Amino acid sequence: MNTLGQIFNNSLWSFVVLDTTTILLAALGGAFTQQANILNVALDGMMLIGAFAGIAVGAATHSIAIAVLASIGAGLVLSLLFGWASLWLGADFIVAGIGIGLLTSGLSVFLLERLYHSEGSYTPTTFPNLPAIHLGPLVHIPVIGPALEGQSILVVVAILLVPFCHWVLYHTRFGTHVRAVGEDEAAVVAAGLRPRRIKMGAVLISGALCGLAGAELAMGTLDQFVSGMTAGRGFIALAAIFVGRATPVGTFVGALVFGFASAIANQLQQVLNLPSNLLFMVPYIATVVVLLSRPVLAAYRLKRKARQGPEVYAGA
Amino acid sequence: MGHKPRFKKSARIGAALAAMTSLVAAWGIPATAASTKTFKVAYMVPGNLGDLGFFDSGEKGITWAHQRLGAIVKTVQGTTDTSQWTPDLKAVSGQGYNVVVTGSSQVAQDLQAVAKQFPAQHYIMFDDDVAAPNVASIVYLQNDGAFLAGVLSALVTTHTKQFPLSKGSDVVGIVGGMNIPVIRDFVVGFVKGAHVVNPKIKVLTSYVGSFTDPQTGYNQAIEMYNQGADAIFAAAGGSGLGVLKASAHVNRYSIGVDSNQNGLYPKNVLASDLKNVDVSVFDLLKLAKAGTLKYNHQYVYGLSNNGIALLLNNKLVPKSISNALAAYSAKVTSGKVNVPCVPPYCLSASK
Repeated sequence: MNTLGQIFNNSLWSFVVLDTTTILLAALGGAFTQQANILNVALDGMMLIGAFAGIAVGAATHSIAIAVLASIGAGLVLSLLFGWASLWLGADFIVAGIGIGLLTSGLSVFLLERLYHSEGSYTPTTFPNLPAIHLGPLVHIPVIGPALEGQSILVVVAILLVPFCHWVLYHTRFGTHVRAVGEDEAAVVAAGLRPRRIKMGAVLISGALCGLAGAELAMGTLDQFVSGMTAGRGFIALAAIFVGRATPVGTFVGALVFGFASAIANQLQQVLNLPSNLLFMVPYIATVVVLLSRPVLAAYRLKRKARQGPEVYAGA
Repeated sequence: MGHKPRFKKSARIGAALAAMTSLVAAWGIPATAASTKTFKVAYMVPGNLGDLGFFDSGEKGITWAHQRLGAIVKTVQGTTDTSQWTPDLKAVSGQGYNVVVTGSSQVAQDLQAVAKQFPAQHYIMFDDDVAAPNVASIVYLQNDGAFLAGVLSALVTTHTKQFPLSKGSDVVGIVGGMNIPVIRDFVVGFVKGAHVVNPKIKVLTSYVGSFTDPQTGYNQAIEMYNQGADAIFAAAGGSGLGVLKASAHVNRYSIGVDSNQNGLYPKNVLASDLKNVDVSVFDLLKLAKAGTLKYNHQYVYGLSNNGIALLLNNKLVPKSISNALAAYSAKVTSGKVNVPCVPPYCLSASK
């Protein structure tokens, strides 16, 4: 019981939020491209450049608002490049996405070297803080209180973006177009719309949100840039999108699964002294299990229905 | 009868070998003939000077060679453009320098290739082992450095008067980059250091799983501070920067590694665990000048031959503590304390 208490302590919940938020922001952006039938492997790279731009601009201007805007801007510029290469020049999405990833990891090291004469990292001596959440008396609410207290304002932004993205995707004309272009591009053309423009819109949204994810990663707690600091979070975001079938709410659940799994893996390593190399697999195993659970459940339901009656043919 | 032809054959091979060596030696003459009187050294930095640590330390060793050995020295900065390193190494090879110095594992492959192309050029390679007949390598005992970090952490948690941010919890921690032998070598050294001061001290250990994930490093450090750790040693490369940031966030202590990180969070970073590249490079240059440097040989540097040191943040670490540290270091040097190690890093210091 004591060990359980040590694992599920208050800091666990704040780590869950920290680990979830960056992934969620990138994944929400990726949900738009996924809905538009674009497999966006550029998420990680756009996140990294967002992190770099935020730290570089924040250190130079001492303004956190400009820093966050720079992060978003850097993500947008890269997504523009990604969209131009794939949608206008006809490059394969995956190849273009991998190219973006390679470009950003090289570019960030190059800029570190040129601007700060440092190879691996840049830690500004003073850096403006992101506004933090202070719950006041509400901090005593179990789980949610300690989870949110002291987190950056971007955590709130990320949470609010979930219903907002849902609204955009399912209740606006643009969202309908994005889903339509993903479902059946020919139908969109027949309807007199321009699929390339619609897809570009989705790509730009993914760029902006990945930039924001980079801002949270670099400025949420760290206020520093380390080359390669996304450490594959963009690809985990991609997994979260698949878990959630690219719906904003489902993607949120996917990001939460990963955030929770990685936070709990850290706790287990420290509290129970379990072998770390095994625990590093926990978040990925959790993702695979969730990904697999859906088709397995669906197959099970199908079987049960088949046993009950013949109407299953309609679905098959 | 049976012996004679065989003898002749081996003699012939011997003669051929001798001829080949003299040929190789002759090839080397233009490079070394001019430099029998003057001792010339080139330092190729695979990166930039100004890192306040590793490469700057190497430059200091070169400067000592200039001041104390009367060497003519030249430094070439290869910048972080890795494609430039091989050309830069070639540019200083076969140019009449008695020795070309370079270092870091990143440049090992470049040197391996260039050393083959310039068999008459002698090289000193620090911080990695390059097996070649014209390269002398320097490796460092990371467990020795981690041992000192462990001692310092233990002194922090047991001396709350000298370290006002310490709670006296008798808990310290080490965050490793990955669970691999080289990092485990750090961990065992650190644990030993802490326990030499006080065997009751609890040492928390965790691994980030990456050398470039400062966020996870931060989270793990925060958790350790929550469990009472007064000081944490970050042996985790870029992920370690998150550990140092965490120490500033909770306002406790941390120890950096690899480069001088004391200035990053000057109220919280106690020290940086560094390799004394200067001492080791200067030692080897001295041997090279005397003509007794062994090539294709690994020189091992640890506490006992002054190859490892903690660069202390003097604003945080008082004199009494640095004296105590020196005393523990002397125990290792004299052999009273044995620092454990993890294979394949179990080497004993040279000389």
